[in-house]
Amino acid sequence: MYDIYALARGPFAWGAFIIFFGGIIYRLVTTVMEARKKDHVVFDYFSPYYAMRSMLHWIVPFGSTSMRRQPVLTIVTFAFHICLIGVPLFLFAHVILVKESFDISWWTLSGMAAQVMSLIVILSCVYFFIRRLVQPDVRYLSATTDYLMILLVAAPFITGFWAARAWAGFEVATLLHMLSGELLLALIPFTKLSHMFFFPLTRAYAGSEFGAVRHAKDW
Amino acid sequence: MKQYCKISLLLAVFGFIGIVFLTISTEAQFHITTVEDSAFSGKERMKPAVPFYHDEHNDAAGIYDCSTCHHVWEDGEKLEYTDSIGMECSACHLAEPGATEMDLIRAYHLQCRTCHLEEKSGPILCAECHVGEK
Repeated sequence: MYDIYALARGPFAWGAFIIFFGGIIYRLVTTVMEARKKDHVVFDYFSPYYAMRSMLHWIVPFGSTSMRRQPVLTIVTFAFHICLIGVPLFLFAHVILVKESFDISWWTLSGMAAQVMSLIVILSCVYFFIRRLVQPDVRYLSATTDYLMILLVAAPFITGFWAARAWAGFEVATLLHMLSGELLLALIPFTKLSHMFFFPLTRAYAGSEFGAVRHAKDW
Repeated sequence: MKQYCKISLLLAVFGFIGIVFLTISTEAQFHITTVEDSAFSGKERMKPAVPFYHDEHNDAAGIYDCSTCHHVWEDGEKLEYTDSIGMECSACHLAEPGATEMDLIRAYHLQCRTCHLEEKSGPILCAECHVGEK
């Protein structure tokens, strides 16, 4: 246990963060370079105004027609994303680890809030999983990796909740929590989860084309 | 003979009660069972005080030099033959300007876990120390 902990806390953590940030930079740079070669017209019609307008509509709840048509999905999606990003960043147990290693700290969530938010993430993942299985159009578009992605995202939250509640077997759960979190971070740049940092590019692309070329809305 | 039996039984009972009382009172005074610091008292805490049996811990760990834990640092160096017994951890670990409880928690975590990892013995995971509901 001591060796796995030391690995997860040391080299694996460094590796995960380096792959995460390095991967994001790599994917952004190569994507923009590829677009310059293959799709130069994107840059000719790029418009910061239409790009921002598109991002704004898609980042505000119910800001797009698609979101208004599927209110349940919209509510689940927004709650999911807020909790998904908020819990890892502002969990006391995480901030104290950063404080221990780098002597910096920031605002933290209360224990109760963090647990409720983790449950929201886990239940949202259950919803997304069932939705992929049950809704015909989504099922048609789902590959095995899409189901695995949901499990990958849910894993650190399930094991983290388990560890925080100190349920039986929390020792294994805590180690699995660290390892699954690191695996998730390292895979984000190279899977569909890359929408995390591709979101502004996708919206800028669609926003500019719809706004500047077609003179239409893209939301 | 019967009388003698009764008296000795009575004496034994009183003696036992006396020993129990003595034990409880001295234990209560000297036997440390949690990690506590007045800096944490009366404040909203994330977790309850960590159980820590001072004497049992040191027997099991083979720590006989108090300054192993009750250290004194000066100019980035741990002073030899000097200990901080009788001082609260917060006396130093909250003394730096701008220091918060996070600095005190950091000191505890690093103190305990670093040694446990080096010795490959003792708790290292959150819930191994932080037991019980808050």
